[in-house]
Amino acid sequence: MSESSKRECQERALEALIVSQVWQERDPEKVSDLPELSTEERAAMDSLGTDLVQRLWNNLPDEDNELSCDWDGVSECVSDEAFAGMNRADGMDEETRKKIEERRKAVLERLRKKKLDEEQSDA
Amino acid sequence: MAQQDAVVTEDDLEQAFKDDPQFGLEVLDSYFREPLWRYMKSISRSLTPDDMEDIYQSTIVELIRAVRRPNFDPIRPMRLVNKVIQERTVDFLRRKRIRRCQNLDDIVAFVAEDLRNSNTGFRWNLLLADDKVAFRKALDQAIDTLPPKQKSTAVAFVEVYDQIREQGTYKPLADRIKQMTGESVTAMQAKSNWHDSRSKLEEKLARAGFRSLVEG
Repeated sequence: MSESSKRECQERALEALIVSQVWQERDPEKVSDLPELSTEERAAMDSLGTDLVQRLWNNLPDEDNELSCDWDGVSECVSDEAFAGMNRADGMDEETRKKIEERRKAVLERLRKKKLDEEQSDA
Repeated sequence: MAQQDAVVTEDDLEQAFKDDPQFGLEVLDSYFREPLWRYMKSISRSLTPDDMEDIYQSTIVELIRAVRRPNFDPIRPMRLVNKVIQERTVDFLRRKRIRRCQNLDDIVAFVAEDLRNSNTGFRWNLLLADDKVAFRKALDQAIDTLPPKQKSTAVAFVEVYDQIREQGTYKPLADRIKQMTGESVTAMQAKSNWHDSRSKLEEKLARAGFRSLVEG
């Protein structure tokens, strides 16, 4: 095999390795094997705010279950992203933001306390 | 924010969902948001930060619907959460017409052929599982830190690798680059762009300790 053929084979092998490892299905439970977020991705993630669930929960009507979402299959709720996009933290007044943040702290504190109580009772 | 805080386990989350489904979702969002974003990214490197934001929010919307249903089962909630985020991501890619390999079997024949009888293939098979994870981490980082044009070319190449091999031309890469960036390039230019990206990746992987693997 000539040098250029060897080089080409080596390049193809490297390409195959890169492709196979990027495509490699990752186990969501193994966080260490999941790709890290870039600065831009992290900024987008943080921009959602700490009250995301609260906002979406309050804005999603109960009757919404009647929409075409099929929990067991692939969903086709095209409107969801548009709906979610309208619920970004940007448009919230300071007082609401404060209230939500306080509530969030309270629920997390409740969880920590619960866990501590369980650990103490185990001990 | 992230699961790395290690305060909340899946058992805690399960209990939170049993106590109060909205509280369960708040705990999920507070402690598992980052791992879920990283999982989303592992499904497709073509997603922009805005795409990820939209998919994540639609996942939470879907989960709100789910926990409000009378038949909601809070046992091992991460199975459900991972399923929803995967479906939402795949659905998003389908609607944006972004190609995604559904199964590694689709490309495995080409990968096996290209790795056969190569030093890279031989050395890869000798690596321990932990070293393979370390290689993937280094590769993820190498791709992420490429300059934007090289990064989009690398992502595009990975997506259309099997088409390039099958058709014996870089036209699918040129088409994908145009779809991703709007830039028209010929097949030859696409090939040249990819070679630039590949060289950079090779350098970065060598610096990360995988020189013998990538240089063969």
